[in-house]
Amino acid sequence: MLKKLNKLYSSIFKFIEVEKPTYPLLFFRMGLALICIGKLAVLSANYLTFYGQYGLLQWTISKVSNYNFSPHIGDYSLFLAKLFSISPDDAAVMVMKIFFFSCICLFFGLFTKISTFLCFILHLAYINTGSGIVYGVEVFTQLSLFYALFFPLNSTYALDSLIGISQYKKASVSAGIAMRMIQIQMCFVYLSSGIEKCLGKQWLNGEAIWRTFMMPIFNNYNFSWIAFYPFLPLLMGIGVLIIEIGYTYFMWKKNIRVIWLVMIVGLHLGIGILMGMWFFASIMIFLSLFAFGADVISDIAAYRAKEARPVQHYAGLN
Amino acid sequence: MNNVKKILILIHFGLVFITVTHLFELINWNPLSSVVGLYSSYTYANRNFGFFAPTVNEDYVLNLKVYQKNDSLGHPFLLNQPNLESKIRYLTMLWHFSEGNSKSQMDLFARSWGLYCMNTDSAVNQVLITVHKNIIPTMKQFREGKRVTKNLYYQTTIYAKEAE
Repeated sequence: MLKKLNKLYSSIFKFIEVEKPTYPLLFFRMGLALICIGKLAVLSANYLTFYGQYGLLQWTISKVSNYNFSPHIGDYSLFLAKLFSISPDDAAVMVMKIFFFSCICLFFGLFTKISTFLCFILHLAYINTGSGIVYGVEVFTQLSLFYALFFPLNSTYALDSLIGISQYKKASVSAGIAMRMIQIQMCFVYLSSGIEKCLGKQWLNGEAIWRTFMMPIFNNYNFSWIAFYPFLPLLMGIGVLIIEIGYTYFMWKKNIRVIWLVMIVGLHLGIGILMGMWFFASIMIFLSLFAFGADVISDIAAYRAKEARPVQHYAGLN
Repeated sequence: MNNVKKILILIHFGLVFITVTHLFELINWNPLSSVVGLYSSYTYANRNFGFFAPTVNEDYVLNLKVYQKNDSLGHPFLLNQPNLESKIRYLTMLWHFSEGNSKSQMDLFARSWGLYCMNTDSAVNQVLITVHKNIIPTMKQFREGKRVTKNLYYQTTIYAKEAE
């Protein structure tokens, strides 16, 4: 039994510890920073409404629903307010500026470890403070920032390498481990999401697609006619289930994963276009592209090389 | 990678696995649930990822009507919605508001909204909070002529405390 466990343990880490190119880490670092900046920039007009001391959900209320030691914008703001003798709301705006600055440092790979940590802790503080407005985009951004804490994000085209903090590496086992972590995480995400959808009838009879189109807030286009062609939302619903559940298997299959990646990107682009949930679409596309993009590029390169090879003709021998 | 890092990775994905499969709920052991909850609150890696699953819930509409002293008519208090992302956040807030259909939770949200209106406009001393639920017919009902309707879901009035 112990021998079998040892064998399993070794196989798992033989799978995880692979050397991969580091350029996807550049994409991860810059993409994540841009998503963090974009999300807060779009909400900046309502910043104090969502995150201020007397916003729609006051600090006293959002603090109660968290663990005592959880990061919270209120705590940081009150500390800065006391330090600089400014109002708590002005201090909250200062926290926003610190977050933006950290994201910019992360983007350029400057003091990457510190900037990643600051982004992680401040984004978590935003989630805890604005817990009433949190949805999927926060979940996946925070998840990405958590993994970013451990990734060698400054090992590729980072300002850190210019100032001697890090060294450029074309490929590394650490980059491979980083990709494997996100690959495994995304498989868990899509498999559980697909299975949970199957537990109800709505995704199996098309009602889920219909209800999403008919919700007034997502009614960017008039899809009421789809009620007269019920097979369309039915096929779309089943399609979503196949793409999500199939992700866990087909993303590991050479050549087929190209098609699956296109389908998952298409699914999320559809969510962005039809529902207007662009940030959610962005973070999901971003994670899949990071996880499997490099493998898909290798598949395409291998396919092209195979196609370009001249066909050899052999003369028959009498 | 040293063995400590390997064990930590296995623990991490172990926690992800027992959360997405709801195993920790089946095991029903408080220390495990506490660890799962705490880990999830920081990493967000071990959560239930079933968005819009298994059902797509209805959406809600929030109306705020504010009254000043000696004002019986009142006027609507409009929330700033400069872009679609802000609108989605308001919808998300209403989903959190209605989560679990808990009256005390809804009252807490309502008091917070009322206070927000009063802080924004100091002349306001009364806020009528109304939440309507959009009832979406099935495709079959739509074909039979039924349309999206609004049902009153929650209503309350928040009053400013008189200075003593």
